[in-house]
Amino acid sequence: MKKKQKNLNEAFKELEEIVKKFENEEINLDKAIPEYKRALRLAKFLEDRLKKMKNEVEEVGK
Amino acid sequence: MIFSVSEFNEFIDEYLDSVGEVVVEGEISEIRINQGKWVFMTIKDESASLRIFSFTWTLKNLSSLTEGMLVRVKGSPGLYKKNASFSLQASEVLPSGEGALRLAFEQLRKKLSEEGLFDVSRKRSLVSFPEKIGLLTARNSRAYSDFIKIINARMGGLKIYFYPVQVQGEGAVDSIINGLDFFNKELLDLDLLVITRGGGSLEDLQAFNDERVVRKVYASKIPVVAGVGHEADVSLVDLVADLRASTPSNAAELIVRDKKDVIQQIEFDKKLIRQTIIKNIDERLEVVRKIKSIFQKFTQILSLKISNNINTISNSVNSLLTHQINKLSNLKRLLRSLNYQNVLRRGYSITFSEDGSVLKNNTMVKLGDKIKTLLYNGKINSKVLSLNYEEKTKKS
Repeated sequence: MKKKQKNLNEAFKELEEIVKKFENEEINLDKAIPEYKRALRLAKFLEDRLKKMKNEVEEVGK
Repeated sequence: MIFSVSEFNEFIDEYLDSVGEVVVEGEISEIRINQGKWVFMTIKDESASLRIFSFTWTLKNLSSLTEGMLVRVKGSPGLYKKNASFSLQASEVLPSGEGALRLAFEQLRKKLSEEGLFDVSRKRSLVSFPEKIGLLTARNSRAYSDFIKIINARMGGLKIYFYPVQVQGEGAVDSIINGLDFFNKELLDLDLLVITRGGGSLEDLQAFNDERVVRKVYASKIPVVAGVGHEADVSLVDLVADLRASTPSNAAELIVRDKKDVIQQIEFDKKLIRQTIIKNIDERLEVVRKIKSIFQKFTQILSLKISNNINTISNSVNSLLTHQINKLSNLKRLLRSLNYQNVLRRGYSITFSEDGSVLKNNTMVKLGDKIKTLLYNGKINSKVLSLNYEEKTKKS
């Protein structure tokens, strides 16, 4: 089953949570490597989205 | 007709009475209170001034009147008959223009503040990366173009729903309220609303100080960011909003991060994680190295001890073996010496009876028995021809 794609907020929040764990330096090496890989995937997702997207303006109410 | 002074003053005073109440607008240039009872004021315009007279109990809002304020004075012209000084006896002095607006603003601000509309605790936080934004501002305005320009420069991927509103003048209040209602009914999933306009006078910004607009913003289910006027302009909508921006451009800066900064932050995060892992591995390696070093030293000591022990054991074994070898050699020599061949070699012989028994005495044979005698280099077969007995003492 395909996982629901994260939005920017969720992805950034998860990345920041991973970073916080590493900032505390209380890491378990067995878990650290998979989390680092996860962080890299999140970073790539964010960077790709940030670089590519344009804004759209729609007039409403009339 | 010739008047006396007092008659003339009386005449003019009566004439002025007939004018009735008038309203005169001017700027207060002087205001003073005498003995806590009488109020003397002067108002002016560009070319003239007018003295105002009243009583402290008549002017209820006296404390809000200040020099420089534009006011409208309602009163009756009169002449002080004693010296013919002309003044307007005021029944009411109200702020006019910006003064009035400022007073009304302060009164409403106080009232709404006491109700808790501006409490910091009720301000909602905004998402870091909004994706859907509602925008209320004037079409083709500088505020609109500034806001959109900054947003586009900082971040992409946004869907902006623009509801054009009137931002000043008659109809502005209803226009803004309609916009807020629209978003709160039709687009409740927006991340935030932005209400913004450029700078102007207090009168220009009046719609954003209207109580109905302020309450509508307060009731919005969608978080509101307000950027009304310039930095120095603080409207009531600014105070009730979840976040206040100083200008339309500042509103765009506050609601979205610059993607360059975000990308830089992400790069920093990746580097931090990588460095933390490397540092952790290095620390563990260092521990392993220390353990290995300790173990090596221990092994060396142990090897030395074992080596010493082996030497000791080896020496002991050697010594034991040597002793045993010597013992064996001695035994061998003894055995060799006891070897019957060596006895025979010395000239002795062994005689056997016919049945093979070794003859130890002559009673074991009789005359005529066949016997064998073993010598060093062979055997002799013979017969017993005679037997001679000798007395021997038995050994115990």
